[in-house]
Formats: sequence, C-alpha cells, structure tokens
Amino acid sequence: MDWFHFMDMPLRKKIMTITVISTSAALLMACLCFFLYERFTYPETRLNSLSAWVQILGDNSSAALTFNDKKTAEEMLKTLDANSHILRACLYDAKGNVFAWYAKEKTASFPAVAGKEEAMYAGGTLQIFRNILSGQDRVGSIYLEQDTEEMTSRLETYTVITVLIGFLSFLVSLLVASRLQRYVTQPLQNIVDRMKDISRGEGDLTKRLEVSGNDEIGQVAEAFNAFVGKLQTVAEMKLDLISVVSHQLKTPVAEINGFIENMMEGLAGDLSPKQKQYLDEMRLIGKENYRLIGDLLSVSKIERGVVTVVLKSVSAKDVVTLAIRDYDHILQEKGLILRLEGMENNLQLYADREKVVEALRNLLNNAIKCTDKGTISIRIGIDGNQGMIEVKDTGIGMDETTLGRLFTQNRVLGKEAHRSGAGLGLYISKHFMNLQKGDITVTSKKGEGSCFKLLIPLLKAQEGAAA
Amino acid sequence: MKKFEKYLFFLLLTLTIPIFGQISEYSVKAAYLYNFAKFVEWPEGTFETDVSPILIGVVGEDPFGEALDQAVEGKIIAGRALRIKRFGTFDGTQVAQLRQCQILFIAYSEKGSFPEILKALKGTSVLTVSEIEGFPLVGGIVFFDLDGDRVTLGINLHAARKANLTVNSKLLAVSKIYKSE
Repeated sequence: MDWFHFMDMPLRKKIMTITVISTSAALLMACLCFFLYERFTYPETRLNSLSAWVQILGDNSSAALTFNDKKTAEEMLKTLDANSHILRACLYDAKGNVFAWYAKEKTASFPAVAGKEEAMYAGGTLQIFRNILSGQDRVGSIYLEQDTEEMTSRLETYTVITVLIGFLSFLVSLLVASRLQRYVTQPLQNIVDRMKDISRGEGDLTKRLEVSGNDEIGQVAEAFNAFVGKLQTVAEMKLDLISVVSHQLKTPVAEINGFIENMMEGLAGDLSPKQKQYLDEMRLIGKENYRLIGDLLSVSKIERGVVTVVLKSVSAKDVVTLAIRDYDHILQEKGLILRLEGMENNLQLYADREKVVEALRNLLNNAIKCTDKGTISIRIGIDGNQGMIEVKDTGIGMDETTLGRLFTQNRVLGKEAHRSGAGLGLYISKHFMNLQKGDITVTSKKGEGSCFKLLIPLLKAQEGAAA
Repeated sequence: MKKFEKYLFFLLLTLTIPIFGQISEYSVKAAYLYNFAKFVEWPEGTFETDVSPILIGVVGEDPFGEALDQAVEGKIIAGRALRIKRFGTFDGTQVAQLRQCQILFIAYSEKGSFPEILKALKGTSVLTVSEIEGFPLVGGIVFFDLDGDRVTLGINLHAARKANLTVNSKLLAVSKIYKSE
C-alpha cells in the first residue's frame, strides 16, 4: 500500500481501513493457528485411528491364525470395505508368510513377508506393521496401508473454510467499521464544515457546535466553540467601535462641510481662484467622507439588527424622480446620457421610500463611476410578481468572481473595502431591500456593462395579502 | 555298496513320509489343545489357587507322543502353567481323576466307551476334545475334523454351556457349530 496515499485518505476511510486490516489480520492469525495445528496433529490422529484398526483386526483374527482358518481371516479383513481409506491389509502367520490378504483394488501388492513392527509414511500412504499376540504367544502379524487422501481433502476443506471465514469477516468488519466510523468522523466533519463557513465569513457567530462527547473531538468542538465565542466578541467590538467612531465623526465632518460651503459662497470674503479650487476639492472629499460615515453607521446597524423599515404606498415614478435629482451636473461632466424608460407606468409599490431611493441612488452612483461613455438607463417595469427598477450601464462590467462576492461582508469590511465606498453601498442596499421583502439582482459581463435590478413588492400584492 | 546305500535311503524316505504326515497332524492338534486354554474360560472355583496349573488329560491310546509335551512346555496362560496327564484306556477306575482335568482328549481308541466317559464327566467343567465321529452329537464339546490336510474344529455350544464353560466368540468364529439334544 502506498503510504502517502493512505495519509491522504479521508479519516473515514482510514478508520475503516485500519479496522478491516486489524480484524482480518487477527482472524487470519487464528485461522493459521488452527490450520497449522491440524497440519501437525492430524497425521498422528490418523496414525492413532489406523492403530485402532490394526488392534481390532489383529485381536479378532488371533483365533483364525491360531487355528489356521484362512476363510474366517479373509472374511474378517473384508470388513475393511467399510473404511474407504484403507487400501490394503495383510495377515501373516507366525513364520511371517502371507496368511490372508485384502485389497481395495484387484492388483494388490504388499510385503511378501512380515516386516518388523513399525509405522511409516511411504509412497504417499501410511503403512503400519503390528504383531498379533494371543496370550504370550505371537501368532502372526498384520499389515495395513492407508491413503492420505483424507488428510489432503481435510486440509483442502480447512483452506476453503479459512478463506470463507476470512471473506465473511472482512465483509462484516467492513460493515461494522462503516457504521461505527461515523461516530468519529461526523463530529469532526461538523467542525470542519463550520470552520470553513466561518473562514469564508458566512457562518453565524452566535451559533455553537453540538459537543458530541468528552473525547478528543468533543474537546476540539468545545475549544472551537470558545474560539467562535471570542470571534463573536471581537466582531461585536468591531461594530461597536464603528458605531461609536462614526457617531463621533459624523457631526464634526458635517460642520466642516458647512464651513466649506460658507466659504465657497463668499461668506468669508472673496476667494482667489486657487483657494476656490482647493475648497472645491475639500468639499468633494468632505461629502464623500460624510457618506462613508453614514454607510458605516448603516452597516453597524444592519449587523446588529437594529434597522427598521417603514412600509407604505410609494409610486415608482416618484422614487426615480427623487433619486436622479442632483445628478445632472456629474452626468454632464462625464458626457453620459441618462435615459428613463417606463416612467408612464403608474406602478404603486409597497416599500420604505427613503431606503428604496437610497438603494437606487447607490446603484446610480456605481453606474456613473464605472461608465466613462455611453448611456445609463433606468427602467420601471414588472418582474414576476414584483415591481422592478432597472439600472443598466455600458461600463466596465464585472467578471464571475467579482459578481459572486458582490454583496458579501468580505467586500464590505474585508481587504477590498479600501476601494472607495462602493462595496459598502451595495451591501447596505441589499439588506435594506431584503428587509422590505425585496431584493437586488445583478447580471454583468466584463467589458460590456452591468445591469442591476431593484425588486420591490407591489402594493397590489400587499393589499391582496392583507385582504 | 553304493547302490545299496541309495536303496536304503529311498526306502527310509518312503517310510518316513507317512510317518511325518502323521506326526504333523498330531502336532497341530497338540498345539490346538494347548490353544483352547486361551479361548475358553472355566467357571469360578475350578482352580484351587490363582497359579494352579491347567490340567490336560489324555484318555486312551496317546496319539501325540512328545508333540503334546513340547506344545505346552514352558507355556503360561493367564499365569497358569500346563500339565499333561495320560490315563491309558478307560476302565472306570479313573473317573475321579478325569473329573479333575480342565481339558480332556478322548483318543480314538475309546470309540466304544466315550459315551460312558462323557456320562462320568457330567456336572463337571471339563472341556472334552475328540476326533471320534459323532462326538459332538452325543454331548462331546470340541471335535477335531479334517478338511483335506487341514485340521478343522467343531463345537457343541450346548454341551459347552452345560459344562459351564465360556467359549470365546473368536474360537466360535473359526469353528463349525454343532447342536445336540
């Protein structure tokens, strides 16, 4: 077995392999012992059994030998028909000459004269010579020859049984191992799954693993739970920090922005063109900061679940009108065309107007940011049983990877968050829409632009449900 | 001279063949007499002690000669030695002694008196043996017969039981079984 391959096996397979191998090995050893025992004791058993036959036959034929009755002696030997393994038998008189004989096959060959008392394996048969005594007199001797077929067939049977037992126990141990390994691997798999979830940033930190027992795995689960607890604390601290810092920053930034506005409007006297240019830059940065702080506050609210929505009847047309209010300037600056479609539809939505407007503005912001030339179109329509406001651009678009992570937390507070505030906006918007039982979906192709859809419940559906 | 010697040799040879045959048959029978003791059990109380000898009697003209003495010489059966006692022709005086025997061979010479001998042995445990025709039919126990050259055995089981003798089944297996009244 390839050891490295074994190391790469899942724990489940490792446990099963170990169980099956050790069970099979133990069983094989047991079988081997029986086998060897049989192998070495059987010949002696065989000899004992043959000796018994010799004893009985010799004893029974003593009178026939004494009183010279060949016929009776031959009849006596004929009883050997009952034993299929005794091939030949011969009785010798006291002088050692053949007295009577018996053979399974017609062509019998046996020692012409009696040999000395002994037992031996020769030519694949077991042969035995014994004297026959009557009282103190030796009246003759007996010779028996037995095949070893029984021994061979017995060993064969043992081999078959050993293989069968081995195979069966292999199956049983496989079955048992596949059942029992779950008690080890399932809790581990749970831990691994949870670890992966959390490292991907998807896991709910308030949830804890079920501790299955006080073994090593149970201890790992407990330690992991404690670890997740710490993570949760850190995450909460992070949100608290964002919340506090944002609150603390919001007012000063707003004030700075106010002062900049004042100066731009000439309330602090005339400004040189250079001063005006700097102030203009400061105003843009200030605005962006203010928006970022607002976003951070929203995120911390979402994360802590304290955002509420106020649902009422809203006209889709109003939403769009409100959203595009002050984009003329920047559209003109970038030379983009804004196209409105479906404005004539009198689509009534059931939503939180502020949040829908904010979400739409966010989409519009992104579209403008990502598009250098061409058209941005906003279309009001119906998608399935929901109202829809679509924002379509002819910008740079996104690849699959970016699309997959577009609405996730990582993008919001992870490594990518530094890339302007765009990510935060989508995350917030998606949550706002979800809170209203709506959604944001996106389709995009790298280099061909993106298409975002705001899906919002219709008033009609809401009334239907209420009625 | 040489011719005479040759003649004498052949003469002796032709004379001895039947004599040898005769001796051979009786030496076999003598050995059988001895061997019967191995296959027959006498009732309790037959022997005075554990080492009392087994007494083989021969009544009538002894056909065995030395053969019988040679057959039993130095032999021990179940711890007992064997003794031979020859009684000569039955004349009614030996009855008490005959009744002491364990095995009694009734010679052919007693052809006329053997029923009388058997009658005299009634109530004893003597294994009677004879080669007289009809012996087993009138209460004799073991009968020596001939099958060609081979000496064969006949046993009157009824008579053996009457004499309280236990005959080993192995002996019965090689004997012809007779039945009498």
